[in-house]
Amino acid sequence: MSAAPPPPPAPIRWTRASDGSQRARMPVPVDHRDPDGPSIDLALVRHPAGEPGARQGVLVVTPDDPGSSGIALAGELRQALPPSVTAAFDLVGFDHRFSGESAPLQWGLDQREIFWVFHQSETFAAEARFQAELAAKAAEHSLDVLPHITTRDIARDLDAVRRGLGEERVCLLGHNYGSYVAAVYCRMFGEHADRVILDSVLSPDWVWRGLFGNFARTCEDTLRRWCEETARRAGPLGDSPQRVRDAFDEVLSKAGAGGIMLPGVPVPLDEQFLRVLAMMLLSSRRSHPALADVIRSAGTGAPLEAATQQLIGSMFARPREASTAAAQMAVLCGDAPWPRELEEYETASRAASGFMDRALLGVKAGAFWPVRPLEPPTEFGPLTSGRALLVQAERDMFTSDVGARQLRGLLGERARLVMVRDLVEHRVFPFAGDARVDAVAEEFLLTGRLPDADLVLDPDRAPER
Amino acid sequence: MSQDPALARYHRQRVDWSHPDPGLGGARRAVLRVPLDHRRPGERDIEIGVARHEARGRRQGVLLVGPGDDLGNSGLNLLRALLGSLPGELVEAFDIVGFDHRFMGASTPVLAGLDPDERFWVFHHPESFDAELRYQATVAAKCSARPLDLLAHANSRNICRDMDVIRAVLGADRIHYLGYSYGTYLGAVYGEMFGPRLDRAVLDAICSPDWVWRGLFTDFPPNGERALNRWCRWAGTRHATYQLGPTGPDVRAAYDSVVAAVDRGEQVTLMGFPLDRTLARLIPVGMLNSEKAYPVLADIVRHLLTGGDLEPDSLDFLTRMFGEPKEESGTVAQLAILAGDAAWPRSPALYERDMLAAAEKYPWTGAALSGIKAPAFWPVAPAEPATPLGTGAGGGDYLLVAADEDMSTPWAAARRMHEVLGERSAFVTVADTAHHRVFPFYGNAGLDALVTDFLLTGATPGPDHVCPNPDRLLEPAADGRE
Repeated sequence: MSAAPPPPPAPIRWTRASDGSQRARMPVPVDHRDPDGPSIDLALVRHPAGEPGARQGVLVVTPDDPGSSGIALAGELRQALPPSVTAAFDLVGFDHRFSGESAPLQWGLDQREIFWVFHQSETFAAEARFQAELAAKAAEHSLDVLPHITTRDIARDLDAVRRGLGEERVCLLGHNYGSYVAAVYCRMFGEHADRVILDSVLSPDWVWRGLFGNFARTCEDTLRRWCEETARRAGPLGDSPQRVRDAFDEVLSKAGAGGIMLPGVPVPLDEQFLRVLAMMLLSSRRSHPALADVIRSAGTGAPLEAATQQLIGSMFARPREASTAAAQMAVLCGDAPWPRELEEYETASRAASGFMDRALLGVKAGAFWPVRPLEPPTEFGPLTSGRALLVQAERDMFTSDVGARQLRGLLGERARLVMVRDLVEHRVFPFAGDARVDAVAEEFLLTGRLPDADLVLDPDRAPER
Repeated sequence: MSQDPALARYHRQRVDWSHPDPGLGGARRAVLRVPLDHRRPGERDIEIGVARHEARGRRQGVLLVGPGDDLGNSGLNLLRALLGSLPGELVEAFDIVGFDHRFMGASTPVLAGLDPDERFWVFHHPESFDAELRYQATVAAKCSARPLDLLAHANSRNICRDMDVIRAVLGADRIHYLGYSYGTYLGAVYGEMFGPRLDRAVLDAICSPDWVWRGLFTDFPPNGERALNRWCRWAGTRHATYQLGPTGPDVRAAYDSVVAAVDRGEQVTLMGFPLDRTLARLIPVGMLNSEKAYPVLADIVRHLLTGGDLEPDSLDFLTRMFGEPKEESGTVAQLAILAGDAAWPRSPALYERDMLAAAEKYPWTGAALSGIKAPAFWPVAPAEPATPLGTGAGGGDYLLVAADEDMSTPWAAARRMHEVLGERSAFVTVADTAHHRVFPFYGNAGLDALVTDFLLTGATPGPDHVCPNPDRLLEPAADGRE
């Protein structure tokens, strides 16, 4: 980029929202190389520090999934973070460019298309068409802006927000994809990053087809462990891991053959939906019993337990927005080029063995993406300013521990990793309620102190439902 | 334009001209450097291979020959062909200059390792929509796999900017221009972008300004049917010789039976080449571009139906056709330009609808040309919008030449160009011929004299002139145009 510092943006004008937070919109250029060109408005939220006397600065929350609302996440964190943190920091969130309230993409995606990540068709050819159609919608509606919907541009926006806030340095908290946004920010604008927490960490090597492959593997690993754990309980699915797995597979094939009815769910569930439901229930140890209940109920027709029904209900309470899926696709397909030879995907899906492999390793819209990245993805090296705390559950299904270990190695001596051994959880601080992790993170945010060395914590025996 | 200091070093570059190349009609070759990205001159250069045949007599100026006959074909090969055919007065009066356009032939060629079958992607005949999607996506993937840094800068506007560097290097304030087929589009775009630099331009076998570029494909099937049926009508009049049937519809049925056999998977070979569904349709395409090849096509169809020996003329024709496969870089650059001038639709559903409708209506080539094509999978968006033509900002005096039965660049397309260029253009129809590229290759003396006169003096025969065809092979159809 050009050596000249960008001009100071106009200060952000906040308006008060009914819930006590402050909202604002600030313009950012669509193409940061052309600051005077077309712009869009970023939507921001600020939850001011609870104790003005104790205010230390700004903690910016990065969106935890491409397309997901950072404004909603900031609200969630406002409730979940330790009070000492919300007292000391203005908590700032934003919907990243072309998502949420920030110039969202309207591509007219239908329900099946919204779940493009997990979509699979009967045949490879049919799936190729399905995914090509998605790329066609992206091109039809957004060809001009697609090259500018990348993580690096989101990081540039973040820096514009920092300047708009009038802050020399900001602290960052990023979960999942947000960890990658924050890490990229550190790499691009390191001198302006202060204390940075990266939780449920993505490997820079996964950008982004690799993410799908890695995820497929950890889904299968997690399912295997769930079978073992369910067998140990010797419940209705059986007392050997193989019996449990057979029960699981049988329900899947029944769903594939004609759909299965879950008591309380008005429509028959198809195989694809059931896989996604299983995947979601597997992702936290807290919902593992619910998966066993679903398989039992689907196998026998007996009613679901009330708690399971409630959990599933809450998972689907908020329908996924089409614009969220569009922004997700734009980033995942746009940060780095995908292979374009279809044979590669066909080979991968033919070799599929894990229960999510065919959906995740098959062809995706990226293979047909109508633009290519304007710049290579970010290369990582040791931090030269600021400090980073990486937080990771070892059995995190969405972001396997490999990512955190890798990035920790790359970031060097100004970073530390706190790993909770054997824990199946995604988004640890503060959502998993692990007091030891929370204490390390809280101290880091408030004082800047990192543990002397990387920590591996034994799983606390958190109460299981 | 030439005042741009960043471009000045390209305009003033030193050029080493070779000795006259007998293989190029005595023209001298040279390699020029032009910016890969004309918006960023000086960053990275590419080479443009040019050749100049110096005026034999009193030099009147430069006649630049647009590259190719069809897109992706070598401009230097065209120059060689022209130097053997142009009227002597023009060779006397003009430095005649040809070039290969960027990324093909002598101009930073790009190769992609295409299979032989993948070089025919334009006319590739679908076995099914899904199989065709796969095939066309693969062609696009291969062509864009490695050299995308280069190919992202393949478009007609950049070729015209290269042409202006050639002009400046030749020391010409203004140039005359002669372009065929895709070269006609370049002639129109050049006049729009560099109007004051363009003097007289002859465009022959003219692309419609509306085509850029899917329209080129979707316009073909109806014109193809018309051209094929015209040949059928002619072959019917030669029933005694070819035994394909006494009427046009009989001959069409005979040809269709060959195609149907190939489509059923029967072994049909031509000079040892097994015909597939694409080749069975593509071979006639080349022959329908001129009545001169009508007998060859009739002989081939007779041969395929009866097994009788091929005539020596047919053997010659096929040997040339099979013997000179299109250079791979031409295919790659062609795709990059077709995709780079304007964005294509990308929806498979849209192409499938169009394919099915066109297959029904135009059974010969409808499915191939209206179906999904490699540009639908091109991985970069066009770098700039296509050029609006006829804006009033353009310059140059155009003589537009169209054969009334041309298949590939039909007469109606040429009329659209005439409408768009307006008063800057005069229009000449050559009657009763399907010959693609009439001047000077067909040998219509009236036309040749008229074009020569235009290039030498600027004189035109009026805005709308018809050259009769004394050599016409068949009477016009009773109901007018076929």
